[in-house]
Amino acid sequence: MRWRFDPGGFAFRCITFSIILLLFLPIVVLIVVSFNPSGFVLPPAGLTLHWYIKALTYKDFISGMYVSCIVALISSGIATGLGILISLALVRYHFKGRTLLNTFFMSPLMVPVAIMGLAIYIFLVKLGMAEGVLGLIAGHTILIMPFSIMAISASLRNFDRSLEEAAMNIGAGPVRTFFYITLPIIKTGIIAGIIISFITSWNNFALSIFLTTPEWIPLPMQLYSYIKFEYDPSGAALSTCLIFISGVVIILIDRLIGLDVVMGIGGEKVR
Amino acid sequence: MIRVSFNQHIAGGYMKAAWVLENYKKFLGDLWYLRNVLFFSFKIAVFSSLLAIIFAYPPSLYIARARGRKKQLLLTLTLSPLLIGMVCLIFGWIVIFRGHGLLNLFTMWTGITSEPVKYLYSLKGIIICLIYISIPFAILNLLDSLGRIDPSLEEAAMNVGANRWQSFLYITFPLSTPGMFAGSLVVFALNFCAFAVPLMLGGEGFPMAGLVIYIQSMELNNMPFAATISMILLISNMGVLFIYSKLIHRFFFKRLGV
Repeated sequence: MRWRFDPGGFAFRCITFSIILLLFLPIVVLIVVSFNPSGFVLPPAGLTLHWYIKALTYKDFISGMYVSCIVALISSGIATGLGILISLALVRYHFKGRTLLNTFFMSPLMVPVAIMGLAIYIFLVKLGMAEGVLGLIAGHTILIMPFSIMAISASLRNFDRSLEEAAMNIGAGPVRTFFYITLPIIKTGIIAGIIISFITSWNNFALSIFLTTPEWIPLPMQLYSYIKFEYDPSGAALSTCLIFISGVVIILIDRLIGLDVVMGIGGEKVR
Repeated sequence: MIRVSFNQHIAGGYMKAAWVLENYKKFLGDLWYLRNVLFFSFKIAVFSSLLAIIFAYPPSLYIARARGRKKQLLLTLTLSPLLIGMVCLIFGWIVIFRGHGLLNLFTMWTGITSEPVKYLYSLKGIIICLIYISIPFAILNLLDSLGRIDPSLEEAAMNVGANRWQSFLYITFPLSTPGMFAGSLVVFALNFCAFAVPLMLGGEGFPMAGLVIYIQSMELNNMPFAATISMILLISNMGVLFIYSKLIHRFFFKRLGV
């Protein structure tokens, strides 16, 4: 179909692009404010790094960053490890209840976060594990499992089974085949899975708020309480840093396997 | 970990089992909770998901028709808010909503309003932000069904003399309805139980269900009641989704013959 210049098509384009711009409006505003010496007063009066210095030396933010890093690293590690096994089972084997199991593993995406947070919290209290960082890690692992499974399954579907068979034919055992053939080939998917689970955990707020203990407060929570009590642009500066990290991650994932694959559409394209 | 996720509903249910009638009576017997929490969230969720679908439609259509690098770029752009922290996005909106923030400057400059409108801690702000957060999810679902439409169908319609508007109205739009319904379901479920947005933008004056769960459990430490609300919310959520999909099947797909 050919789209020549015409009023209808032009209006359609305008609407489309203004909506896409609208999606970036809050992000752009935050970035502008974070460099603005006069703070929230727009239009900006110049350029300054003052807010960044303030934000990056603020001790709650630093401790939050530390906690977020630990939680995100551990939970994405666990989620990826389990994700490899689960995706192998789900993609390779056709067994009874496979669809059900798949739906089950995807269910954290569908259960409202507030309800999930509360349920995990109550469960942990019953186990007596609500203290410390364990709850946070457990909750985040559950939350990010679907993403790592999606990323790894996507690369497993691409996989040419005959390579494995060839390895087996020349005498490699299943374990050897897995480590020398399967793992290197699905490496991209695994890395993408790690990255996306890391960033999801890193950015998560709604689940953390239920599982946080006073000693272990992740960064988004620190940011939230900072915005709530002290209203100044160093919050915006920190947000800009976070947005920058997310931006890098988005580009990385896009280069590796494509954002649409991770988000669950475009599955056909991969297959 | 799998076990924990498996147990989550049971965990909520267990707390409830010991207290059953008391808490349910408190929620269901009291008109305030029913009207101001459940129905209030329902109204907001319906309204914002409807608008989110409308806003998401043009970009999805555009992306579905784009090809190659352009498509990939647009797709990445529209989906990237999903990967940026919710707190950052909401904070961005807080800055926009401020008394003399961008939105008020804009509306006053264009003459839509003559004096600053209060968006922060008001329903308008919550709804705008909910719509904003839902748009990428709606686009995901719409793209799924728009991408499946065979372009030759539209071409065929144009060949037999339909103009572009007609071919959209009679071919593309009906074929994209499954995506619209799926999208509205997902977005409704998200907004119905929304939590971070009302917490940061609304405060306790706007008791959306997710927020009430948080306040009851974490601030008032009334776990059983919070669990009760969660269960009612979950059940009513599933109920709404079920009824909705039944209705669609009965009244829409049958008529369309899809």
